Parts: sequence; C-alpha cells; structure tokens
Amino acid sequence: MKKAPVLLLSLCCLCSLLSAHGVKLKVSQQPPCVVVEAAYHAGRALVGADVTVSRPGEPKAFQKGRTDVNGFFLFRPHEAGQWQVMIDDGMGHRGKSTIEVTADFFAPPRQEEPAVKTVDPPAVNAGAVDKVEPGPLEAEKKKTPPVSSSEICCYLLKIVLGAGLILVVTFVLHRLVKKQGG
Amino acid sequence: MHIADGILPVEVSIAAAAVAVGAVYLGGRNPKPEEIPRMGVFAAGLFIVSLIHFPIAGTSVHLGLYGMAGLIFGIRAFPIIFVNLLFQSLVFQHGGLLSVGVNTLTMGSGALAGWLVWKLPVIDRRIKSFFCGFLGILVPAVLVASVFILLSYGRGMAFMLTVYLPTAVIEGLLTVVIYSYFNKAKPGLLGIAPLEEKEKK
Repeated sequence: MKKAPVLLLSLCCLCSLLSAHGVKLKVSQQPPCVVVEAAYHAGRALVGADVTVSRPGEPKAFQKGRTDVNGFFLFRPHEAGQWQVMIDDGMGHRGKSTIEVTADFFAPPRQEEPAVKTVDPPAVNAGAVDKVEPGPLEAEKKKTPPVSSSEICCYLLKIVLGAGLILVVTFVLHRLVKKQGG
Repeated sequence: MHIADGILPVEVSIAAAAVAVGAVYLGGRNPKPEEIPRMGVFAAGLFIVSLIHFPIAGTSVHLGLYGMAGLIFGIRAFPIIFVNLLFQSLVFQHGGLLSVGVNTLTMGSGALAGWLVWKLPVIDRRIKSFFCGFLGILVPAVLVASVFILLSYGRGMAFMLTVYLPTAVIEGLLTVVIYSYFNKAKPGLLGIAPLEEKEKK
C-alpha cells in the first residue's frame, strides 16, 4: 500500500504526456487559401475527419471534404466576411471555428514577393532531378511541433485543477451530510 | 466516446438531461457520510484516468473505468460519472454542457451493465471483474453508435466496434488487475467483500 502514492503520481505524470481528445483548430490565412489544421488537444492530427465550410446564416454548405493525413484542410473563400469551418471525426469529437476574412485577403500580391511560385514540371528525359523548395504549407507542417512544453504544463495544471475541484466538492458535500446527520 | 454539443438535436439533449437528472438523483440520494469521500476520490481518479488516450483507427479513445464504478458503487456510479463528465466539460471542453446528460446516461449504462454482471452469483470473481470492465466500455459504445445511426451520423456500428473492442478488452484486463490488487492489499478499501478462501483455491 506504500507504493500507492508513487503509482498515483506516476499515473498523473503519464497523463500529462498523453492527449485529451477535445478538438482544437488552428487557422491561418495564406492567400488565396485558408488553411485549417485540426488536432486533438495534445497535438495528434485528426486524419480523414469530415470538414464542412459554410457562411453564417446560409443553410447550404459552401464546401465539404476531409482532412488530409496531417490533419490539414484548405479552402479558397471567394469573398470577404465570416466563414465557418466545422471538423468532425465521426466519433462524437467536433471542433468549430469562425474565420474573419477581410478585403486585404483578396489584394493582389506585391510584384517583388509573389505569394505563389510557379514551378515548371521537370522534363521527362532530364538526367538530374531538380530540387524543389518546399512551399509555405510544407514548411509550416515541418516546423509545427507535435506538443509544446507549455501545452503539457497547461494540460497538467488542468488535470490537477479538475481533480482538485472534484475533491473540494466532495469535501463540502461530506461536511454538509455530516452536519445534517449530527 | 463523449458526444459533443451540436451533434444531437437540442430537444433530444434536454430530454436525455432530464432522465439523467433522475438517474443522478436515484444514485445520489441518502448517502452515508462515509460513502461520500470514497465516491469523490473515485470520481477524481476517473477524471484522471479518462485522460489516458490511445490512437486507434485514426481516432482517439480513452479508458473509462465505468464498469469498475458499477462494480464498486452500483447505481451510485451515476452521480460519480455525472460529476466526472461535468468537470471534463468545464475544464477540458470534452463533450459540452448541453450533452452532459446524454453522456451521463450512455456512460452510466456501462456502469449498470458492470453492476449487473457483478451481481451474477455463479461465475468466478476475476472473470466477472473482466466482464465488468469489458461491458463498461462496450455497452456505452453500442449505445452511442445506435444513437449515431438513428441520426444518420458517424461511421456506423462496425467502425465503433472496431475502435472500442480493443479498448473494452484492455479495460476488462485493467479491471481484473485493479480488483485483484485491492482484493489482496486491502479488501475493504473499495467496498468489495474479500474473496472466499474456497474461491481463491
């Protein structure tokens, strides 16, 4: 029984490293597209989840699709205003985000820094393979850490807070019942 | 296995919440003072354990210990599960406040299934404890899948079972381990009567 506190503490530490399965959405506007990254709370991607893009107040969806193997989904808004993205893994886990797309989003890119580079396909008979620089999205994917230490700390604090609150409620209830009984 | 807010129609969520309030009242009425700390500590433990997640088939599943709750507390598992889900919803945004009722009912059904299995007189206690844990996950999964099918939502019963069957087996084995440990270390701690000598042999 002396090992019980150690076991409990180990379990708490283990929990802090593992993920909750609430869904969080990270949205970035990269004209001409809006990129949505869907992940469970500790960073594991939502793969193949259903995505619905719609305008608030419009019953019909603007676009439907699925997230890719890294949990990414892209869509191209055609006008400024609010856009709603809902991602659902079909198991009861769902995330929703409203995106404000401004008129600047549709402004043409500056000449000296084009937003989109066109890469010619390599010739079929070329002996050497051209090195293609990764696009902004691929670079974004590579530098996205799975879980940051601050997220783990926040997660651990929430666990302690939740379990602590439950114990406080228990203590208060216990006192009340004891008073009534006495 | 939490059903998030917005998946079920509001009327269904409210009706389920009303039934859940009844179940929580039935489970929580007239508690003895010594029962409350045990229930509270178990609820806190359940809160922590339900944050252990496994990636299976592109989704995320977690342990629940609902069968264990039914095994130890019987119908008193309902308030425990309700408090656990309420705090998960408030602290981690799992599920949602509107769907706490329906989630309490589905998870509580697992606890009830575990309790009923534990009441069976004939089977060995270790086997019973396995099925408590196993059904504690499987019954809610089947119920949730059935609700999803009725709403034409989700990926169907076969997918849910593919995801939750391994979890149910793990949970069953874990329940056997926890039960056996406490049965040896301190039988009275969980409120379970110790094994009879002849049953041990």
